[in-house]
Amino acid sequence: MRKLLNIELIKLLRYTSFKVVLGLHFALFLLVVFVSSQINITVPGFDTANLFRFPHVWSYFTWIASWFNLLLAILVIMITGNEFSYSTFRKHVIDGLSRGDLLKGKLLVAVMIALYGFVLVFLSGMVYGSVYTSGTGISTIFGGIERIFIYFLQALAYMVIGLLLVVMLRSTALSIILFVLLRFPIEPIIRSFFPQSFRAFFPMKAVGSLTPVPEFLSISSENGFETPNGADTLSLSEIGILSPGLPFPLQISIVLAYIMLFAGLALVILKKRDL
Amino acid sequence: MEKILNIHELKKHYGRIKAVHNINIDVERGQVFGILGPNGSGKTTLLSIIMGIIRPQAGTYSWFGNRGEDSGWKKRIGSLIETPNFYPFINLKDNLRIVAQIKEVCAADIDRVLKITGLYERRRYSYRTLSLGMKQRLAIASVLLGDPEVMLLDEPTNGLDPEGIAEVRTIIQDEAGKGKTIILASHILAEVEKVCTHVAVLKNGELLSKGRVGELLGADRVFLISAPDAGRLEELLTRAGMAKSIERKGEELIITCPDSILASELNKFAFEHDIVLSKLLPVKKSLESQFLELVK
Repeated sequence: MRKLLNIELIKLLRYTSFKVVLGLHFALFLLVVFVSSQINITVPGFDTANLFRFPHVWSYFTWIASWFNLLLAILVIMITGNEFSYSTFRKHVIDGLSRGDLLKGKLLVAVMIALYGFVLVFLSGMVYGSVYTSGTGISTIFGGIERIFIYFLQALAYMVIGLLLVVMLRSTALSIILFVLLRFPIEPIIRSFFPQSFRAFFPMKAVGSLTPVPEFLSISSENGFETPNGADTLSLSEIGILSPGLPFPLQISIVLAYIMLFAGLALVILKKRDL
Repeated sequence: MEKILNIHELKKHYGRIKAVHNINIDVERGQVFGILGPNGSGKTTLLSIIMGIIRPQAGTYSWFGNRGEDSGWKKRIGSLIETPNFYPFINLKDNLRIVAQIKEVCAADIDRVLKITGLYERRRYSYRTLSLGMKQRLAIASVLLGDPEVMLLDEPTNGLDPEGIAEVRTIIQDEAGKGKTIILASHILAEVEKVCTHVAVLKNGELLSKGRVGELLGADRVFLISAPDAGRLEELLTRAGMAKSIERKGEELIITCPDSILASELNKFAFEHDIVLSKLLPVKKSLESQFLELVK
């Protein structure tokens, strides 16, 4: 494991495109966070600054971070595509890595990138949360912090889908195109042929639903519009603007299953094919 | 002798093309084993199979008595198959650091192999700045890394200038002198003839012949004879069954004899028939003519 990590690090640290795309991801995320924090909607009873307060900041920031998961998937596709175009997977096997090691190395990279995303969202969430929230206890700060772990899983899942595509197609460009098209429109079209209850089980849908759109209205109104029986009249999903998803534990297990399935498939393909 | 490599009935077909067809080869410790064959004869496919990057359809191979992949035997082999494959944006030293990590070789050995291949001065440049010949040198440096006991070289002199070719030959001879086992695939006969102890000839994926270089060369004896009455001598020799084939060029005869016939016997035979030879020259058949005959 240590050895694979060293090898991948030598490659990543000297790969300019990797650093550029990663820097782009970093800058874009912070830019969107910053710009959205400057927007001030002054409607009585609503305050958008609530989005930046604990604990809402976690669901809001993970949602923003999820917009840029495409970049992370592209990173993994680029790095793995290189191994095919430079025939370095071939050289690695000749030199003594097993085909399983090849996949393990790339999974390690995906985990490292997801970890980077995790740290980015966590630190920026802590900074913004502390600035916007005054006098809160630990429970408010870390309430809803599981969202970052779910975001980590989501980023990882997208990268594993990218990894499977590039192992199958062996071409960076083709894999990126197919990845983008799968999200829209390929999978949505296929989904539309299935009954509503099945649609949440499709990979892109299941992974995408991990970071749902935050309840903007009820968060910015601080749940001030609840009816006496507890129903939130401003909840986007209860109003019907957002379709209600599956319960989180089920969603997480579906995505975990997909990660294992896709990584397993990639391994089978790597093992069976000639390099 | 310790068996380094055993190839048993290996087979790989691509559709109707027989890339490798039922090949059996054994390589023992200390041999410099040449694999000869024209372009497309299956040399690279064969080497790719035994290094685990192409899956055979049938047959087995074993290195150091270990069958199949991943028993650590690859660390004992330095190999160059087909083309140098490195990361263009990484410098030479770091490219070799990756190889050293995989082979679990001490990174201190990198400078040594860069010096042997004359790339030390360029070690901080990225791989993409190298010329074809220098890329090939880096591939050879990667083979030498960690001082492996077996070297597997597929067309190692590709793209090299005459000086580079001579250097590679020296490297091979040096390593062979240290008791290393070397497997060398090539279509350049002079290369194989100069360094190999054993040779196998492939054509269209099939093994045509294998053996010691000397044996393969000396299978038939060829003599160049010159005599005043060449026509009569040709007739006599044919009738006596001493020649397999005779080619006549004016006064000169080129005679291919079974390997039991010695020059002195030919001389005696001619003299007994009142023919005095003015020239009798044993001709060593070059590997090239032998090779061309085999693959005809």
